[in-house]
Amino acid sequence: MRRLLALVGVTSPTEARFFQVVAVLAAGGAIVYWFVSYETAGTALLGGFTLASGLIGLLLADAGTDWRASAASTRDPDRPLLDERGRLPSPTLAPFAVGVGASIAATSLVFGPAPLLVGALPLAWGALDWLHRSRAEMAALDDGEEGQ
Amino acid sequence: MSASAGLGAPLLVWLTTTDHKRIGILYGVAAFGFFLLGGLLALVMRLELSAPGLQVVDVQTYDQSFTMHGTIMMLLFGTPMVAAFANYFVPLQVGAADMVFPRLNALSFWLFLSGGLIVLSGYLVQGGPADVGWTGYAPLSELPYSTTTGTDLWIVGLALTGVASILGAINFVATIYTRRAPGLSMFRLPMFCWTILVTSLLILFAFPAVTTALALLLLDRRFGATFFVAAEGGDPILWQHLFWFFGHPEVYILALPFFGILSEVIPVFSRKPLFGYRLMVLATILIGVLSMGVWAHHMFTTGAISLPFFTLSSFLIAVPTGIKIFNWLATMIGGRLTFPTPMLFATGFIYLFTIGGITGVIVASAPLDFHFQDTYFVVAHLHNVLVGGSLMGIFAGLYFWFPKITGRALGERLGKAHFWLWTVGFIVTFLPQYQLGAEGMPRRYADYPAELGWTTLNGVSTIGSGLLGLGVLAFLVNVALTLRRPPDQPADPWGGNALEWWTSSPPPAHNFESLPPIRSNRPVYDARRAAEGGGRSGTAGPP
Repeated sequence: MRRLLALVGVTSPTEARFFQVVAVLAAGGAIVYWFVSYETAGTALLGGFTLASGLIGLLLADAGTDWRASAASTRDPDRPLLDERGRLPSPTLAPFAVGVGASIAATSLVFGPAPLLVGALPLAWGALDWLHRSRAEMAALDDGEEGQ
Repeated sequence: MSASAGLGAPLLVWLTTTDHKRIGILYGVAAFGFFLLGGLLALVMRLELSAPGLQVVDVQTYDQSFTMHGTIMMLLFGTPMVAAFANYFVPLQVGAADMVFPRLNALSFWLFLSGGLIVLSGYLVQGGPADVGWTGYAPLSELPYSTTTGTDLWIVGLALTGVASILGAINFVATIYTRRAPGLSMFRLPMFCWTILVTSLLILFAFPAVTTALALLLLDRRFGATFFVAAEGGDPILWQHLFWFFGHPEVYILALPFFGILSEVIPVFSRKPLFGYRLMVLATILIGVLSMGVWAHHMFTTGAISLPFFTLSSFLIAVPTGIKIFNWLATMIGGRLTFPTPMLFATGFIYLFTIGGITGVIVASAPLDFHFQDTYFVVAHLHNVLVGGSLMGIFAGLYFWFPKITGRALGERLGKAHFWLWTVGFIVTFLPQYQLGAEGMPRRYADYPAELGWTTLNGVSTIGSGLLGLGVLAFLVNVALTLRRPPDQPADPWGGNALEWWTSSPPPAHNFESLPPIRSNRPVYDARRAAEGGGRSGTAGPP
C-alpha cells in the first residue's frame, strides 16, 4: 500500500512528484490533442513525452520511498534521493579524447570511412582510459567502505 | 599529485579538467566566441538590407548567412550559455563539490565544441556552409535543393551538440536531486535551480525529436531514403512536426534559465525576498509543460494542424509567464531598490521581454498569423524574446556573477554604457521591423524593391544593429580591463541570498570549506541576519 501511494504520487517525494505532475499534464494534453485533431505525429510525440516523464516519475518514486520500512525511515526527509557516493576524479584527457574522437568519426557519414579510422583511435583510447579510471575509483571506494 | 600539476601547460589544464567551474567557463567562452561570429553575420545582413539592391553579399551568401546566424545564436550560443551558467552555479547553489558525473560533464562540453566546429567547417568545403535556414525545412533541405556538403556537416554537427545537451541535462537533474546540502529541500532550492531543472526536462524530451529528424534527413540526403520526399511517399510536414516539437521548447530552454537569473538578481537589489516563491515554481513547471504542447503554432499556414488547439495552448502559456512578470514587479514594489548594472539588465529584461510576450500572443492567434507568417513581424517578435529577453538575462547574470567567477567586479561606468547602447540599439533595430512585417516585407530575402517604401525603416534598423554592436564592444572592453586588475571581491559583494555567496570569490577547488544552516531558500541572508543579531539561525558569516 505504501508503495502504491508513492507510485501514484500521494506520498512520493517532491523529486518524483515533479515528473509525475508533468506526466499527468502531458497526458491531458495528448488526449485532448488526439480528440481535436486525430493527428498521429503530434499525438505520438505528446504520448512519448507522457510515457517518458511518467516512467521517470515512477522510478524516482520507487527509489525515493521506504516502501518496505515498518519502522521510522532512515532517509533525510529533505533529501530522499541523496547519494554522495563517488569521488572527484583527477584531471583526465579521456572526455576530450572521446568527444573529439566521436565527432571526427561522425563526419564519416559525410566523407566516407576515412574519418572513422582517424576518430576511432582517440575514441577507443579515451573510452578505455575512462573505464580504467572508473574501475580504479570504484575499487578504492569499496576498499574505503570495507575499512570503516 | 594532480595530473594538471604534473603536466604543467595551462592548455592541458583546460583540456583535462573535470571541475564544473572550469567547464562552465569553457562553455561560456566558447559560446561567446560563437556569439561574436553570429553577431558579425547579423551585421552583414543588416548592411545588405540597408538599401535596395545587392551591395554587400550575393543571394547565396545571404542565405548561408541567415542560416548560420540562426543556428549559431540558437544552438551554439544560447543553449551553451545555459549550460555555462548551470555548470558553474548549480553545484554551488545546492552546496555540492561538483556535478554528479564530472567526466560526463567534460564530455558534454567537448561534444558541443566539436559539433559546433563541424557546423562551422561548412565554410571550408566547396559550396560553403548550410543554406537551409536554422529551421532546415524539408524539402528545401533535401539534396536536390541544397547541394552543398555544408548542409550535411550542419546536420552532423547539430546532432552532436544535441547529444551534448542531453548528457548535460541528465547531469543537472542528477546533481539537483542527489547532491543537495543538508536542509536544502526541493522547496528551498534557489529559483535558478528550479528553472534549470525544468529546462533540463525540456532538453531531455525535446532534443531527441530534432536529433531523430536530423538523422532521417541525413539518411534522405546521403543514403537514398525518402522520409521527407513527398513524391516518394515521404512527408515533409513530418519534418516540421519533429523540428518544432524541439524548436518551440528550445525558445523556453533559452528563456527559463534567464527567468531564474532574474529571480536571483531582483530580490538582491530590492532587498526583499522573492514574491510568491511557490507560485513561481508552479509557473516555471507550467511554462515547461505548456511549451511542449504549442509546437504547431509555427505551422498554422500548413493547413495540416488543429488551429483552435494550438491557438488556445499558445494563449495559455501567457498566464504562467504573466505570473512571473507580476511576481518580479511585486518583489520590487516596496523594496529598497538600487540599480547597479545587473539590476538594469534585469529590469530591461522585464520591459523588452513583455513586449516580446505580447507580440507572441498576436502571432499565436491563427487569423493574425496567416498575415504575419514569414514576415519581419515574426523576426522582430523572436528577437524581442531572445535578444530583448534572453540576452538581457545573460548580461544580467554575467554582471551579477562575474565577481564570484573571477574575484573581480565589472566596471559600472562601462556596464551602464553597455546597457543603454544595448537597450536603445535593440529598440531602434527591431521596432521598425514590426512595421516592415505588418507591411508584408518577407524575411530571408536579400533584396527588396525600392518602390515599396521600406528603405527608411530598413536603414533605421541597420543603424540600431550598429548600436547593438557598440554595446557588445563596450562589454568586451569592460571584461578586458577588469581582468587586468587583481582579484579584490569578497565572498558576498552584493548581499546575496543563495549558497554561492557563502564561499570565497572565486570558489576553491571543492567549493565550500563549510556550509551555513539551511532553513529557508535564502540561507546566506539568514546567516548574515543571524551574524548581525537579528536572524533566526545562529552562525558565523562566510569564510
